[in-house]
Amino acid sequence: MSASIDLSSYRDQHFKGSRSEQERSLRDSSTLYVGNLSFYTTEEQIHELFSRCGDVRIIVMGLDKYKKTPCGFCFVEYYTRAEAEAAMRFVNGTRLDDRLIRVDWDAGFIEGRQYGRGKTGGQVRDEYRTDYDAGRGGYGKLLSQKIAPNTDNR
Amino acid sequence: MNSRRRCREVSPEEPLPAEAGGRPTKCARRPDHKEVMATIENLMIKLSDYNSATVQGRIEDLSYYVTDTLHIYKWDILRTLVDCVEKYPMQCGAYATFVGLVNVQDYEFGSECLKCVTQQLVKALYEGEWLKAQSLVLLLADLVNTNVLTVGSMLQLLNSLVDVCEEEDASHRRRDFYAHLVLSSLPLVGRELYEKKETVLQTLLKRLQVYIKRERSPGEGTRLLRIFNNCDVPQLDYLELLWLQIKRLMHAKWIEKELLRPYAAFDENLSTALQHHLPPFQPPCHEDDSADYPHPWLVFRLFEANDFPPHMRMPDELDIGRHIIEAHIMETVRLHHLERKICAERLMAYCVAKPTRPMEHCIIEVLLGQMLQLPSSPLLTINYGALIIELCKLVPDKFPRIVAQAADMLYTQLEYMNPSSFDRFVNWFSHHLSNFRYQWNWQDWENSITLPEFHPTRQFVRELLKKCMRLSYHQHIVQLVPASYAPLLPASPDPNFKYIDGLLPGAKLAKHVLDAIRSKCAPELLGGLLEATTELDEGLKINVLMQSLLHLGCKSFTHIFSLLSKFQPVLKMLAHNDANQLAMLRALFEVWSNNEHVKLVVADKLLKMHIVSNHAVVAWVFNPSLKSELVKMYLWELLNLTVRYTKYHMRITEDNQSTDLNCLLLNIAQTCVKVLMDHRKSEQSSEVDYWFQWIQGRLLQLLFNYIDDVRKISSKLREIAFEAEEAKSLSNMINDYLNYIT
Repeated sequence: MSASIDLSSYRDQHFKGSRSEQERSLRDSSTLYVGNLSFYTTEEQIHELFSRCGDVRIIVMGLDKYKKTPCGFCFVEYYTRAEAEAAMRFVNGTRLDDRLIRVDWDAGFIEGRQYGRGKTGGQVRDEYRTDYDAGRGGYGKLLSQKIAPNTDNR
Repeated sequence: MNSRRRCREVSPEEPLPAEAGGRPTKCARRPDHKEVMATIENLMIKLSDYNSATVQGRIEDLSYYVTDTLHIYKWDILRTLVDCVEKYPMQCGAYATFVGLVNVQDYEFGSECLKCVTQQLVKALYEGEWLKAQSLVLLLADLVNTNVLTVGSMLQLLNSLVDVCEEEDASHRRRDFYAHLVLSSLPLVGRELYEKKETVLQTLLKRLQVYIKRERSPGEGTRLLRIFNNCDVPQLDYLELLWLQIKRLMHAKWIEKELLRPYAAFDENLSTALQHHLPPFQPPCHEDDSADYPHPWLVFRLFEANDFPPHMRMPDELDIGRHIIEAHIMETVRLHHLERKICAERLMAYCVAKPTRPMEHCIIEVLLGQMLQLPSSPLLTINYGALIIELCKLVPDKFPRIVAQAADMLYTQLEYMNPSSFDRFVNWFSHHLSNFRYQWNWQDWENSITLPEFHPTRQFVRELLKKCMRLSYHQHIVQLVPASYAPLLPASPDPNFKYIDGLLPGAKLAKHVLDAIRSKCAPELLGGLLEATTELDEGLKINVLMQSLLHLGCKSFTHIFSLLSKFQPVLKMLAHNDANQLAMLRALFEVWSNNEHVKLVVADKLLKMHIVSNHAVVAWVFNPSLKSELVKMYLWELLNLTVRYTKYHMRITEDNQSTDLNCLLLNIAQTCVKVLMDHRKSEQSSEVDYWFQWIQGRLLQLLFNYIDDVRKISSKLREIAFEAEEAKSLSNMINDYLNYIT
């Protein structure tokens, strides 16, 4: 029984390679995707929490493509797979900066993957969501435009 | 009746009945070997579910299913039986009942089963599979209860095991292990042995008593394992405690109530069986002392009788029921700790099965005991933390309150807590609080403010606030605590770049360096700039360069790392001797004196970039200017990171000699002892020397963290102990440690 370290259903559509190659990378990977972060969560906070599971090799903050500011996700890479598994088991679904964060396998960081893929520069999920999330820029982008068109929602 | 009919439908050999009246009949497909085995394995594993309402049905299902298939699948069944019992030793009652029921119908099977189990037991004892050996002895004990094995045979087996305790030249650990093996079987089968052969049982116990009371000297080996160095909290040696519990059980005429005994419901049927004898049993021995028998451990207790809710009673410390309940909880954690949701559910199922007991308290006591345990914890601190959070989510009206109670009780004992457990307590509690908005009765801990600076309780609150700050941010923590906490609050973790002051020597170079870097110059240019500055000595140049880089990169780790990476050639060139490497670390500690996290992470990065060596880190950590910092957690986090990185590097370069690691560990031990002895010579006050206690305890923590590696240099460590002769507590500690690891 290994439900907590199983692959999720997410597959990166931009992955250069076949589905099975991606899955093989995910199964060997020591890199994690961390989501549902607040825009204000710092690299230092992420480092502190994830260091509880092992020695962190590198953290890459996810950035808005245009503003180059944190947009609520990051990649955490460990030196070993075992340490990454510990993070999947003990950090996924717990709180960082008082938000429940999601930890999932990632096939490995490549330059360019640190940018949000939403049309307005952040993550796709922030384009469409309709709830108000103070830590992630308030309402989703599309909804914000409807409420206050042509307003820069900073 | 129902279950018999149900099971016959599942039988693999029986063809499906042909229907009368025109419906087409299906040809029976003979289930293949794999399917049958899968069903058997599934039913076997299900026997381990702790559910008294359904266990009878499950045992019956399995015994009926295998009745028709025994002659084909006998060995597979026995193999699976041994595997299951090894995994779930506390459920061996269910497995023994299954064997007992089959034995009623099939005498041969009972005989083969005993032969198999005994063979596996000898093999496990020979190969050092201690948990497996213990679980097989427990199974044999329950096979007496299910009328498969005679009482006389069991006593013969137990006596052969006790023979080992009387082996004159056997090691303590070997003899302890066999004593433990025998004692742990008695709660299961003591009553049967007492009823049928009381005098033989008495003689067996007398032999054990001689060993435990006269021959054993538990104190020495386990003194270092005490989480608390005072005697208020009971911390009994595991074998001592079990012996006392067995003695109490004996006085209670061996009546034991906590175990689930599924065989009781089948008594009439089981008693019709013929019992078997065991052939004479010879515990294996090893030519050399190569077998690594388990080390002794201490049993952790936190809660006392009046800490539990008034209407609930926990079996007290000397009651065997406490041992049984704890063993069950530990088994659940051992099996399911990787899946926290399942683990929490299983623990809750056990709570539900014992509604009159304060099970939640017991679970927290077991989890925290393991988390704080010496020499090291079986699992990561965050593993226990995640599990406790899960339990708090599952039962929010009980666990949060009990966890708070436990944390408070540990707080009151901090003065006596060893640094290794202290660090884990800080790390666990900060993470726990961060999942619950840091809600805590902070005013309850205000008394820590008035304590001496290095007092453990005061240090705890300071370190806890620092860790909470690392997980959140400074202003948040300031707002969280009462105003009285001001002396304990960490400073705002901001950098300090001294060359802002243009009049300082080196300020002009600093300005040039900053301008060069900001204009995206190449590393060679910067190197040239530094070389050209002949009026400053190398130490000052290094300070200017490092401070400037850190100043420019002060926004985040990524910023610092990318600058260090870009200018690595320049730094590498400058770091050509130890003095320069120390100068780099000094510059780091100057700029970031208020931020332990950055100091730790950047020093570690410099090590991993091979700009500073592991020995330079050691020299830096123990240098006199950092003496008062040495009591703090972060410097020891840095030392441990350094050791771990050296081990990692050794592994990836496939260096089997481990000379680098040995040198490092010796260097740390030697330098630490020297620093302690220098302190002893200079400070001669009659008050409690908290500083000395911290550093001494942290040295032990490091030695405990890397036991397998330190063992290889134990003779050198013994020499170092001589240098500590004048500080009795220190030399005793090192000698006790050396005794423990051999």
